[in-house]
Amino acid sequence: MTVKEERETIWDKMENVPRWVLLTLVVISMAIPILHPIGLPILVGQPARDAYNAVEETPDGSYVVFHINYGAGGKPTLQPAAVAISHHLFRKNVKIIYFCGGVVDLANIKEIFEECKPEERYGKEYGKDYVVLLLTGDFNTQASIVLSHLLATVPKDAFENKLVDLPMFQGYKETESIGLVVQLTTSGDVSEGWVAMAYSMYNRRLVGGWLSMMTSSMIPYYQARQMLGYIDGSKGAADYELLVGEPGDAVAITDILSLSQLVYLAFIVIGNIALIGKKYYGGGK
Amino acid sequence: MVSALPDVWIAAILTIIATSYVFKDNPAFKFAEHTFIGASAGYGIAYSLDRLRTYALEPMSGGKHPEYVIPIILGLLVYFRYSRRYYWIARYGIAFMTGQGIGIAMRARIRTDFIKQLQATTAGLTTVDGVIIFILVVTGLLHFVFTVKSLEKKPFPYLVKIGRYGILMALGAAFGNTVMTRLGQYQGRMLFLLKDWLGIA
Repeated sequence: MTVKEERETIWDKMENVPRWVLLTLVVISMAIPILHPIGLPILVGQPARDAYNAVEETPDGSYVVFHINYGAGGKPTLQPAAVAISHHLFRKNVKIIYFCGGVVDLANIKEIFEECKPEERYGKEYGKDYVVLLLTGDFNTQASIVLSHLLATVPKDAFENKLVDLPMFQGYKETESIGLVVQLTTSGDVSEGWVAMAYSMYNRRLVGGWLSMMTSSMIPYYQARQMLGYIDGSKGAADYELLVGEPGDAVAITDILSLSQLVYLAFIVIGNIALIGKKYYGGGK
Repeated sequence: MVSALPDVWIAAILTIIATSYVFKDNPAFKFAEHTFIGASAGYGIAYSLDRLRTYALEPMSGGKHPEYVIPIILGLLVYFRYSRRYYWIARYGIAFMTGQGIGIAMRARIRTDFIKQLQATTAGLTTVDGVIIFILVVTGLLHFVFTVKSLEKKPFPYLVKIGRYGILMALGAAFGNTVMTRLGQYQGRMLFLLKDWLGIA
């Protein structure tokens, strides 16, 4: 017995475009603006502006806790934001406590210093104006340590220097000294956890940055003023680069994102046309 | 100019191999996948030992901080899960870790996710945005009420529908942002291939 195969209609073909076709087109759409930058205009958003103002308003002499928490996947999005915020912080008279929970994050922090050149450009000195900590344990423990029991719990910085011997910690008063917390993360637990720890538990000012896919779950905290501003993925990073006058990778990436998203948009339209066409002309359900 | 650095070449080749999965699963992709998992596991072990040294063994040396032996014992207890006979002992270590985490987070979470969010939802009623948010929060919550019979009578089904549309809009926004994030993650590799490896960007 033979089974008569159903003939594939144009709507079926439009609905089932092979993924390699879609992704090849996406790769091409990414390569074009890298090779020939288009320079599409960027309108600075309010959340990034608020984040900038929060950093700007941090009192002189206070300490800024800067949590770097992203691996290779989040690096293209968040590293430009980290560099732009670091430029801003190095210009100010504040002491920065960078901290992270892994060697990959530590490598990212070292790259931030390579780009910002704090010694050459801003006259800052490691141990006197900024420090890097490599902590262990789960996030809540790490945050609690950094915000309230740093010197009692962490014996050394990431480069084996004793914390109590570093000049920047002379006169350090734990929570009271911290003027701002900045977090850049790819983890939903960490981004929400910082609101709980920095804002609710220790009453510290907070600025965040994360992947765009996390924004819809984080916006309520910003709207409730539990967080003063935020960096929304690559677009937010590009905004911040423009605000500090240091256009870098994020500004370049915005072109790539715009063009590759147009390809995605085109396929969403094709998929919807196929759905409607099948419903009205193709006998689909 | 094409990079002459061997580590850049290794990273570029592994990037291309990983991308080959788009076309079809293949042995080269499996190799890249296993390399990544092996490297991560190796790094994890080395990192954990280093942290044990920095946070426990060094502070304890010379008889200082003998109390640090307690967390070390609690940590070692977790390994009893590999014993069929004594697996229950592992629960003490896990219970301590879980309890400590909840203890730190719980107090702040109630203020963060309930009290402040409820305040913000009602405080914005003076603006159009605030009114829309309030309506969608209330109707969105109604959508998940399944146990009240009177909600089947009009006008509640209309309110539930409004809530459903609100949820769908939120999911649509989340989907759009997810696409942007995934593209953002791959564009980093594209920049690496064209700029750092091939030197043509």
